[in-house]
Amino acid sequence: MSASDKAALPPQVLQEARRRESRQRWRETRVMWLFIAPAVLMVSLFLLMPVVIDIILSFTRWQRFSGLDEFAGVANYQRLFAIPYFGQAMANTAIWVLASVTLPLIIGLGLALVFRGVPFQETIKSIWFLPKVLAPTAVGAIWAYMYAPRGVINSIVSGVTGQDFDFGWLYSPMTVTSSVILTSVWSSVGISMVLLLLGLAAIPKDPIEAARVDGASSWQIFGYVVLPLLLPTIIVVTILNVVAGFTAFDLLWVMASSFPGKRTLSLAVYMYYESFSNASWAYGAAIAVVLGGMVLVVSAVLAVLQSYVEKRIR
Amino acid sequence: MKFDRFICKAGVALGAASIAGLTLGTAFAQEVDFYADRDGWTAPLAQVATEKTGVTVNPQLVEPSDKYQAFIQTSIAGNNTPALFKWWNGKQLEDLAATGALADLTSAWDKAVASGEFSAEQAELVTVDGTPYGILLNVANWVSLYNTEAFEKAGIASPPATWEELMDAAEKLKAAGYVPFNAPASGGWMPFIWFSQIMISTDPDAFVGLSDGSVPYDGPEVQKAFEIWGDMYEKGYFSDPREEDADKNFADGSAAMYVIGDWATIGFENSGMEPGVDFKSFIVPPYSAEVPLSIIVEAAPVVVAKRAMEEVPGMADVVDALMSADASMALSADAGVFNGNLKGNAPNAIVEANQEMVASMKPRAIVRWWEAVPPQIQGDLVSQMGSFMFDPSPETAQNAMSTMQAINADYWANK
Repeated sequence: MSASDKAALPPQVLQEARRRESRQRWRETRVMWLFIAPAVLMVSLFLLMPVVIDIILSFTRWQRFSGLDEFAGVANYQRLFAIPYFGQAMANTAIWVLASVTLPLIIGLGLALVFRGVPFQETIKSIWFLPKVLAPTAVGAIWAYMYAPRGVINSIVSGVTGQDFDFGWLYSPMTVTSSVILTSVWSSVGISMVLLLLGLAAIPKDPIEAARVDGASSWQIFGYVVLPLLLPTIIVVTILNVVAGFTAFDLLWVMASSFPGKRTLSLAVYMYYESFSNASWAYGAAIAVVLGGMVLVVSAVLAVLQSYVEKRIR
Repeated sequence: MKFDRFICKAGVALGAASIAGLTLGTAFAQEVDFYADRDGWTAPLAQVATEKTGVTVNPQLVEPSDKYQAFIQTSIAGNNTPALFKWWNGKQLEDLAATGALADLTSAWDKAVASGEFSAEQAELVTVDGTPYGILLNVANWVSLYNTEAFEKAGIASPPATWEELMDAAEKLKAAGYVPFNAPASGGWMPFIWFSQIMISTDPDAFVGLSDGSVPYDGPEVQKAFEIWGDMYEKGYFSDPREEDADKNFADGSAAMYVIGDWATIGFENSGMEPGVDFKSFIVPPYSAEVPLSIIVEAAPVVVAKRAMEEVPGMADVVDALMSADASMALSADAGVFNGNLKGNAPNAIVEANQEMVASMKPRAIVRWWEAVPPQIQGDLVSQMGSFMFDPSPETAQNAMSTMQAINADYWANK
């Protein structure tokens, strides 16, 4: 109904039409809410509510058995900096994030470039992807045996050097983090490679051909054409790896279960340790809030960067 | 619109029916849940209690222990205390009893003592401020198991009765190609074993004082214990603490002695070693003649929710059934666990021999370190002991002791 048609109608009819239209809109809104209600309910109950409860909990004193005792202000947050374990866990988490982002990305990109378009590409992709299909606890258990004092790695070293070698990779503070990171990279490099292969496949051939016609070398084509066009995929892989680095838990919990300084291996492990093993739920909640906040900030920065890059490419 | 109303009415009706059903179910079914973190421990007891009382006792398993503790804590915080559940004695039981959620089991214990099934001393293991709150589920003596063949080959005629004899035995076993002591650090808790053993062998009073904050972890008593511990490491008396399979070295015969709770004997029995023949036990002697003989006693109680005792009519009978000799025998036969019932049967020759040794030698019974110390700091403290086991140097010992004392002092100052 056009504006001139509406003006020609008597006010009662117009009012009735408006009412009908409003009822229709209300009916549609109800149907819409009906359809999205399960999702809203699920997200609110199982995602948002625990986050809100966790934040509230982090400002309380938690008494074993009786639960929330009293409002404690920022005492739990102050304690974070009063105990050395938090700083150590934070430093290890930083190492985890850095290694989780750079190593799978560099190795994955290298593999993607090497295996792009080669015969049996699908089979090679599947083989590299296989560790990702395994449960992290299973991966951890397998690698714990690899790193054991009488495990595969030490046996190889013994065989090569001809001397008895029984170094405890997972018991020394100098090697435990790097050993578990290596396992994590082994497990996750396949998914990075597959995503980057998809990204490479999506790059149009014309700019590459044009650069080649203009006399650009392979390195120049890669640096000035392929890499910028691959940036959105690289950012997606980075976001996934950043989150994985911040929340590193399962491999550490399984592989370093006997390492005395286990709690400091990552913030996620420290959070679990304080909450469950030490029954300090409120303090554990404060660690979770800090960890969540950091993941949120870094992810947001990366999301902004991704949107900026996509705009630039278009 | 009609459909909306129908859905609403149907939802309300269904909800009401569910609540009514649950209420009626609770009122008439006489069913209670029995939680534990150890597989196989609750089923034989639950079966005996169900058969004896008509109240259906359902065994429920929640593993591992930290998740189990969190489950129990939140259940109590949510005013939904399980009717029956396994717990720990010592500080852990004190904390739990302070909530007021547990049933007083004085009358059940009076009956059990009068019938000769348990002794008044045993009640002390689960008593807080004069009130017994637990039914004994597992009572384990911490002794040193020894491989009879290894002792024979090393020329050791009888188990060591003094610390000198113990060290002499260790030297002979080492010379015969055995690792004298199996000392694992796996599972995050085992490092306290040798710390505790040396402490009770050198100064049992100081060991008890560690658990209430009156004795520091960096004082002379602990310094001495770490010195002895480090010296034993230097002499090569202990197995590699990095072995993840805690029992492996003793089971395969490469380690000759193993200080552990006698509940562990069932595992060796299942792996083909005959208790009392292939391996036997002795109480680790004191460091010097001036120190009284002491033994660590581990006790796991089953506690009862006060509300369940008030609301479930047959609950008192369930408690009596769980304390009966029949329950003890079922537990012993099915799970290889002994709850100390004086009319029950020990699951094997070693557990029986340990009971006799304790009765005749009358060592001072000391609550295990794990249960004695505040649970809020036990993990932090034991990890320091673990760090020493992985690097038993004097520097690590000093660092472990000072860190432990810092954690301990912080806890008691802010308690």
